[in-house]
Amino acid sequence: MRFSRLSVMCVLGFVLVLLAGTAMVSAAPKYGGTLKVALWGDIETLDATKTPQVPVADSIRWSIWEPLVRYVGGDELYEPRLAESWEWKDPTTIVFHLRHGVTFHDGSPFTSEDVKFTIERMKDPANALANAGYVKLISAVVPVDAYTAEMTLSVPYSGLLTNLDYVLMVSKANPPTATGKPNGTGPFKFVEWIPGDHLTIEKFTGYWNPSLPYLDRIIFTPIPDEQTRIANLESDAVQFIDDISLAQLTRVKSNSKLSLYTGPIGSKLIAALFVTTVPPMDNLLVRRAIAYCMDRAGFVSTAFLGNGFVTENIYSPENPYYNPATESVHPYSLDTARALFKEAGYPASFPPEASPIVITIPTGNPAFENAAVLLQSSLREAGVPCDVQKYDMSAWVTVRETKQIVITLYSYGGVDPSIVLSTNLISPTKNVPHFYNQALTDLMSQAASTQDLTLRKQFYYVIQQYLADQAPFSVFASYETRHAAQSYLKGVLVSQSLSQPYYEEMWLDK
Amino acid sequence: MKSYFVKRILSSLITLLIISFITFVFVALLPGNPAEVLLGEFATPETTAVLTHEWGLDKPILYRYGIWMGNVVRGNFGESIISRIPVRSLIARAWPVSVELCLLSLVIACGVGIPLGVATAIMKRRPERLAMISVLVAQSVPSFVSGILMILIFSVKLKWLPSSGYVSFLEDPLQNMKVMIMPALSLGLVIAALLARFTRSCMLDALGADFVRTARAKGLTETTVLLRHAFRSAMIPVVSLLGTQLVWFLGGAIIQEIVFVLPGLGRAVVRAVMGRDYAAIQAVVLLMATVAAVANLLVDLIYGLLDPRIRYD
Repeated sequence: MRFSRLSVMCVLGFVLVLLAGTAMVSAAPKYGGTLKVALWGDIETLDATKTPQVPVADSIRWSIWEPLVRYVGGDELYEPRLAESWEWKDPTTIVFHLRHGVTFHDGSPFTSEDVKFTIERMKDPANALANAGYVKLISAVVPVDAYTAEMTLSVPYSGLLTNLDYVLMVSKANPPTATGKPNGTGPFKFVEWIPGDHLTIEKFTGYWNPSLPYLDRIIFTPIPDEQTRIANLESDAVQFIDDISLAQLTRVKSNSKLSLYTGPIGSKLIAALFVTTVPPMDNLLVRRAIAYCMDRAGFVSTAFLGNGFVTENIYSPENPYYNPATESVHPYSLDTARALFKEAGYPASFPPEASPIVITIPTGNPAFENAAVLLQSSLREAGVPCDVQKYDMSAWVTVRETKQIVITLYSYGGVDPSIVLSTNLISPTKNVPHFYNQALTDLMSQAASTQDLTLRKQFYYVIQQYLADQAPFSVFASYETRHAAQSYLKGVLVSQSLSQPYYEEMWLDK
Repeated sequence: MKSYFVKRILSSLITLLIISFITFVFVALLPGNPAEVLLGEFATPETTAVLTHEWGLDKPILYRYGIWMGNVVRGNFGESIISRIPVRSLIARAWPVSVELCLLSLVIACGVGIPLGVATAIMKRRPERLAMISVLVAQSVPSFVSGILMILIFSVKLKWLPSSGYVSFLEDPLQNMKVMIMPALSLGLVIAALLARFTRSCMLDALGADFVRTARAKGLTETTVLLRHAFRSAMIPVVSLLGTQLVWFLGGAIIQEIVFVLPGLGRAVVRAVMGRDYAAIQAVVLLMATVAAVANLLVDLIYGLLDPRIRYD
């Protein structure tokens, strides 16, 4: 039997299509399996609403609980979660239509009463919840019916939906406690927690999205030492590690069995904060002179091995409200710094007993240590004595709060520009530089409340220019949060608001 | 002998009381508090004050110490401030891990260090020099460096041993040994090196003593002279050293527990200090001080067994 060339080609083509189809089928998510995650820090409490601690957030925050909406960026900006849809009745009233059929892990239904309870619980000062600031502009929540909640704001605020990404809906009948079994509506439910050892969650079969999650179980293990954490990933003892330092990127990138996942570009920034009520930082000339001493390019190349972005702006370049005019207000120049110090009354050389300017930083952050040493070196070269003092995190917060510092370093992020301005960086109610200005506060309020995006942008441009000129702080650089995983772990999503991972769409391709 | 031990126990109790008081005061005076640890960047004076009051941390130090001591006497070590888990259960989970690590390290230290020390005391020059160089290297390499190197070689490259993930001996003895061998080696070999050098020195002293010369003159075999006479005499200071090193083991275990992710007392105390968890810090320090006191008592007992001339008054 002889076969024509055409018939052979047809058979081969059919086989190729079959193989391609098979490949496509095998790329579909697989259900099952246990994911092991190494966290950089210990989980201190089971109440994720009580603390912003990253290990808690990176593990159980969005696994066990959910918000009404999720910030996703791009054109859509927000994705419906527990709220299916929403509309603004007027600038201070928004109505949420809740998803039907959602239950908490204990089987009770999620309703508008839980929304009201969640907001009121956060606002109640007796509960001392860390994220209370995200709901401070919400004056009331009214359950219109079981699946409709009307939220009223005290003032118009265009960042509300972004804020609500951080607000986890809890059960009125069974709210979170430090030791009680966590009870949320999320894709995973709590199994067990051995402090200092591991925390286990498993698939919630009653999740409102029946096709998710793919994983059966996730085990979180705190491994504070980064070398050990990465070694565990390399040896496949764990499949995902959170927040690796930029100095370790080369090691991870060079391993073909590992993959890197990043948070939104420029999601984090590092700044030097000047306490403006304490000499010599109460002198604008001194603050500006120090800003000129900041070798930002040197910092990015040494601390981040080039994996960062030089910027002096309070927002990263990818932020839609970024003002390019404030990109480089104080470029690195020791000559300019010396001239400003001289104008401020600093002598050409200091007597041995002169008090140095002290840069106070928390321990355990290599980027902070690098930045502090670089700045110290530049200041000394400019003729100003400078020391670096370190405290552990808890002590650093205390000395910072009690104004025992003149300069410190701070890392912050945030998608919505109003959120950045409400942090310890420059919040009108409480900030580390103790820089308060009524005109600035009014401008911030106007910017946050205006619905006109063009006008809003103009407000934020003015704010950025003013802050650059007054220099209560000066930004070093922006960078991205990065997570590393085994290459066979698929479906890895990272929050576009806080850079934390979402686990519901992860699956193991093995 | 009975009165000796009663006196030793009483003096140990007083020592423990003083240690607990000093620790309590020093920790309470540290800057920072657990409310700030929990609230992090979002800590405000108002929220910090609410939690501080809720946790009773705004009460005077002496008052808090008195309450704590009263509870300790009744066997209640309080709760972890942030997690609210009873400290007793935190310790109950953690101490077997640390004890196992310390015992394994001790076995390795004694099993390697003492024979090596004896051998190098009686070896000829070249082998003895090689052995001492190895001892010097083992003593010079910090245990966290050797630990990480072992992980890279045996877990990442060779995949022979797990890099982390503690399993108790009762649950799975083989897996337990696989998990514990690297931390025990990295901790034990440092002490083994110290023991080897010290044992060698003590053996050389003993071998040069009159009673050894007499034993040889009596015609005893060299093995009998070494083991029944010189070795026994040399072990007295070695046992004393081991007693003081036991506390070092507990402290050194902290590094291994962090590197190898073992949920022992060392990691528990580091977490407690970083989180300003006063109750947990107090309990762990008290436990370690008690272990040190008991260890010293045991060392004294062993003295009596090694040297019949020692009498307790």
